[in-house]
Amino acid sequence: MRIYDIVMREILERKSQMMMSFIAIFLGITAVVAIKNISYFSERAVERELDTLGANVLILPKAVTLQDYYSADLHDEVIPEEYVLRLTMSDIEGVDNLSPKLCVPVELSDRNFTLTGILPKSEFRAKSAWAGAGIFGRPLGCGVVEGLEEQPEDKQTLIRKRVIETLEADEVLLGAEVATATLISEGDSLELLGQPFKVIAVLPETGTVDDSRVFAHLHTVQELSGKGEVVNAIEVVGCCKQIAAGLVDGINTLLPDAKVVTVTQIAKAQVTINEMLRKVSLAFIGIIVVVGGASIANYMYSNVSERRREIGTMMALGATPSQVLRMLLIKAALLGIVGGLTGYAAGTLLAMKVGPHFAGVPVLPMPVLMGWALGLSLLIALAASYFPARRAANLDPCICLQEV
Amino acid sequence: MGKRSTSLGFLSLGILATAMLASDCLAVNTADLDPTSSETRYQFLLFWKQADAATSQARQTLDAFAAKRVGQLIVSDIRVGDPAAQKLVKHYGVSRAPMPLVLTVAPNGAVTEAIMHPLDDKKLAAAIVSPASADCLKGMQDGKIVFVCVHRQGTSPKDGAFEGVQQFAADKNYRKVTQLVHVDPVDPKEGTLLKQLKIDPQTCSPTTVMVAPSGATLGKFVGSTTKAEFVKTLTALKSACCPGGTCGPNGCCPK
Repeated sequence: MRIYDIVMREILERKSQMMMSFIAIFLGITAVVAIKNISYFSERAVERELDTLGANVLILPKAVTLQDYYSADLHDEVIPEEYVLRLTMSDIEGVDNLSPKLCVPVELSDRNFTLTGILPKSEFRAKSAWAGAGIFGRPLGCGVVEGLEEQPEDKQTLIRKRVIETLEADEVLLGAEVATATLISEGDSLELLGQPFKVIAVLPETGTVDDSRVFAHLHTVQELSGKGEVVNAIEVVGCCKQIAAGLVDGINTLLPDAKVVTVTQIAKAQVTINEMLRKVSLAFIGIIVVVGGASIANYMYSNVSERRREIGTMMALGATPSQVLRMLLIKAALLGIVGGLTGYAAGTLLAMKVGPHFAGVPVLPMPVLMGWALGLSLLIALAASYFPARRAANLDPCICLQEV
Repeated sequence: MGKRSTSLGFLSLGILATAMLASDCLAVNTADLDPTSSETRYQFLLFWKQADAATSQARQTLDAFAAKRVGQLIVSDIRVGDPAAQKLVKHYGVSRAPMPLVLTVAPNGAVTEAIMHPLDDKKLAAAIVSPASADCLKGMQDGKIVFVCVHRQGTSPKDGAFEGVQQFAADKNYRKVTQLVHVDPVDPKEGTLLKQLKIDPQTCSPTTVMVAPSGATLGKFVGSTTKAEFVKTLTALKSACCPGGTCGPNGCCPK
């Protein structure tokens, strides 16, 4: 009889014990793979968000956390729209662009999307020169020479620079995912919250929540949603030198009832979240090592103890200690491989299912995690089985046979 | 009880009469206000939404300020919700502005200051700017590059001093976004502007200052100028990382 046949018979001999060990490994690997998968795509999404954000300062309602903001900013807290003009008309230096936003959920072709109200730049650009004669000699900051040449308007600036030059009350821009899901393209008409709109552009895919947004004029969204003259957030592109020189303090003083956060703080918050996920992931690895390892070790030890006579008989019939060791280690390795592979598959499915709801990002399978899951489960299974297997291999067949 | 009722009645009547007189004092038919009118005086437009304490304080301060400058300015009281005022409200786009708000409009149509609550004489006085400053602000509010050409009146600028400015302003790529403002350095009214632009009022050399719509000084040129210089300045600023608007999360100049 070949060693692999013996191993297979061995595994099927004590199914319940084997199942317990398998479940311990499987659950641990599932949890770790799911966490690692979600946190990876969450990190990438935030990086993309920060890259495409353009804005480096956010003005939010006091009660809103950055996590709320990144969950497609569909929070109920609002700040008055007049903050936009307070900021525009103030003498605060270093504010290059402003982008107020109000988000409401909408249904389109039986799917849920976010209708985001934005204010075109044309509606507040001139007001930045309302700060009086004191604005002469303002420092040369970012964006000072933009729009000084006659060029056709490019609606894609909404994605690149978070601002758009003009937007009429009945016009909308579609995120890439919305356009794909609804089969609506540029020039088409659609109805949102009972009002007809004309699609003036489909925005390029960004891999962020912007893909599932429909952008319309802020005042139209306010009117349709009945929320009044409010916004959920104001994204600010501040000139870096002025941010360092106290732009945030200036905004805080001007708008004491709002929360002002910089991109550095956003990045720090994300690092904190990632760190937390990493710790949770490590905790699960610890649980696998302890619970899974202990379970396998216990399974193997009891297996060896219970089957001393059988092992002794095998050795008396000619099986060498290395063959016994190999047989038990192959059994453990099979357990580890099956646990790792099924754990990877289940963890990936869990991440793909839960990720979009939990972290607000689409999650895809990560093949690299398969190797990682397989390696970890194999290592635990082999490490936990080594000593029981060595003990079995070192058994004296004579003593074992005396017990018969 | 009866005496108290009578007193309260008189008090109410008094308040009502005062309110009527006060509103009559500032009463302006908002429908007649034309944002593009050729008014030669400064207009102080008080926009308000609610007849609250802040509006009352703003009105009183503005009244007192106007009383000291009879004939120099026009004060208009505009309730944002008034259907007759919608043309004006829309023109200035102040329907969502913090109220009360005073906009000071120069004779050339430039908004020289937007003053938010609380108002005071100092802020109101600062809103009256020199003619050249008003011209600059008008250009900036129209999204134009303003060329402030400083040279003494009565003396012709040295040959070629502003030739480049003229050529730049005539260029088809820039003509719609260029405004020229001439300033006499010895004109006492323009002292503040020259100080802000860091130009010595005693200067004898013609000087050109290129100002962005944001108020930032893009360049200062003493003596003769060429169009190429201005184009080069703009191009350099556009290709620079921060002034080009690419001030991203990783800092002003991504490495």
